[in-house]
Amino acid sequence: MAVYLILIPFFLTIMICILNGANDGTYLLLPLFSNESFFNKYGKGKLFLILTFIGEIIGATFLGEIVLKKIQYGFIYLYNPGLLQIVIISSVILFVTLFIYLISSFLPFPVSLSHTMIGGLIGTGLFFKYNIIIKNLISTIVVWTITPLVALLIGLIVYKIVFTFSIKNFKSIRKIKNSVLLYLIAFNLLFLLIFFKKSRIGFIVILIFYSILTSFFLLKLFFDNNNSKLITSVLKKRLKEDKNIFLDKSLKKDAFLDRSLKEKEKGKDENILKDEYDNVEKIFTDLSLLILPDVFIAHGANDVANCSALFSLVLFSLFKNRIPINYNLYILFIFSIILSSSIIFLSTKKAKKLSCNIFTIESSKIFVSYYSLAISTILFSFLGYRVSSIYTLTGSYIGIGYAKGFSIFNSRLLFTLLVSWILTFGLSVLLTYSFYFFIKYIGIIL
Amino acid sequence: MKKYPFIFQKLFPEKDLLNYISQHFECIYQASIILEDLIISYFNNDEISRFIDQISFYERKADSIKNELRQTIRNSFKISFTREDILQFIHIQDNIMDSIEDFAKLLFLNRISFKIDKQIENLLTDLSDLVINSIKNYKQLIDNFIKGYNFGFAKPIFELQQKNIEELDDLEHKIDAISLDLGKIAFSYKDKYNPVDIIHFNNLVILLSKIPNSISRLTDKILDFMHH
Repeated sequence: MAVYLILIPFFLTIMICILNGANDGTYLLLPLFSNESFFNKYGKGKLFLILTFIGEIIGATFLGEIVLKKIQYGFIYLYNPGLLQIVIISSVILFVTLFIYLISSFLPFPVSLSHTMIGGLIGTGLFFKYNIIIKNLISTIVVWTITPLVALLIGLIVYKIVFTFSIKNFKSIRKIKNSVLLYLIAFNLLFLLIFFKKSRIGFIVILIFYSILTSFFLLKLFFDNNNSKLITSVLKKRLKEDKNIFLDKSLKKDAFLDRSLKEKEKGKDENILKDEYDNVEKIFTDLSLLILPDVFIAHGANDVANCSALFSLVLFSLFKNRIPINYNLYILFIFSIILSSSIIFLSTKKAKKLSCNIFTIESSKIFVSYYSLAISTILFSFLGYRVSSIYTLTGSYIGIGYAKGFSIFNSRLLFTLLVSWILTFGLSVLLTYSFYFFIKYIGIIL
Repeated sequence: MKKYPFIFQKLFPEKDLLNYISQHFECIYQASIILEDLIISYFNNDEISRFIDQISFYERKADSIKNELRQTIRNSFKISFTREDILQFIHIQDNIMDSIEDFAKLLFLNRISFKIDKQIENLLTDLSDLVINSIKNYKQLIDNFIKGYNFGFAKPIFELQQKNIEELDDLEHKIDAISLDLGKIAFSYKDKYNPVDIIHFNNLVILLSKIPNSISRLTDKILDFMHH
């Protein structure tokens, strides 16, 4: 009987994977869909979906285990629970998580899977009077609070660097290309180092993946002649010529009267400015695509582990000593496929629909936000902490805003996020506790 | 049950701050194009009421954009410029729209009974041409300002903007000179024609010449924003 009961947490885990993919995927992909340049170039193709899919699976399979173990054993001591007990515990927590996810659109605050899931575990600990590992809980709460702030700081610093060295004071398109290459190398090295520390197979996989992707990008970047002109110097030269015309008094009168000629010249300047801006944006559009799998590596490392942790405990209890080696790896791999499929099939549709009526974010800012999200999430995941991708990305946008990247943004959302995690966590503890109380009342738990 | 907006929609308003300014000015620009046709029709003694309707449509649209901007700024968003500066900016920009609408309505309200000679007609056409050109130049200034914001006002953009501002100053100077000439001519007819017509004509000239003055104030603001 208990064997069949495992189907309940199994289906609930699948449902949560689907909802998490649809919810987080929409938020992570929305900036790309809002950007006309990216959407026209890559939005209709399959490349960005493939990269998303691969990124999510790599992140979950090779880095998810650190987070997974933390959830499996990190918050409450289960004192050798029986299969039935673990099925009930996981089903209740998963059900509460699913319920909160389903009502999330009607809640005035954003909902995070990490906060809900850990709230569920704490609710369980309180109800069954298990030993709650306070130290781990406090450190996780500290991480929840500081993650958006860390992302804000990284976003602010990276945007200031990108803005100063690649946007404002650039001399030529080639120099921008060189500078973005440096950002990319620094980023890839960090990811490779983390994979090297954690998993040798993962390191080889990511090395091959990065090599293919970066080579493709470099070929496109440095051998695309369309945007290799030194446009700024053309603009400067034209301004110099104009100045000479105005200085020459004999020419001044004619130059002023010939309005059509002047407007034609001005039109050229406008086009040069537009071309220049478009060319810089094109580089960052390609770069945003290149960094996209890293965003999903970070997301996969965190969220797939979040979704599948409780079900893995159920299987662990079922098979006991017959657990295969790399058991966690298989679990993470299977659920990462479900979650990434949900991102591809559900979140892209939702993101497309929402993108019509939202603020457009330029490619350079998308790149910076992804950069800081991926770095913050991967660092905390490496340390075994569960973070919320939505909160982290929001923090990085606010950081860019403080660096004057956005002319208008809601800075108070940072405070809202702080209140949100407390509310989500509290709601989850309360609902889980109440649910146990209810099922005890109807006689399921004695 | 109330559905709350997606977190992304809470983070950013639907439109960028500069987008509002650009859209607001787009209405002014469209109205100025209509103004050009209106003046031609007026001198040809054609019916001009349809132009008034079109200009009023753009004025209403500009007003709703201005109100939307005000609402957005009020909704606890952090903005790169001070709220007062932005509100003052949109207020001055709105004055241009009001001047265009008032000019069109004034033209419609009273058809001047005295015969406008060729000299006055030429001067008035020159004046309206220059005013419309200054609106066009200002449009380029605004477009560059928005592009420049994303570029952090790199040196070439700054120089390009200053060049545009110099041209706008020159246009303002020319408009002032023409409006003064027109005023002098109008009042020189005070013993000859109906004084109401003369005051009406002078008011028309004043309304048109107000536009470059507003533009000049806006260019100063843009320079302040760029230095900010």
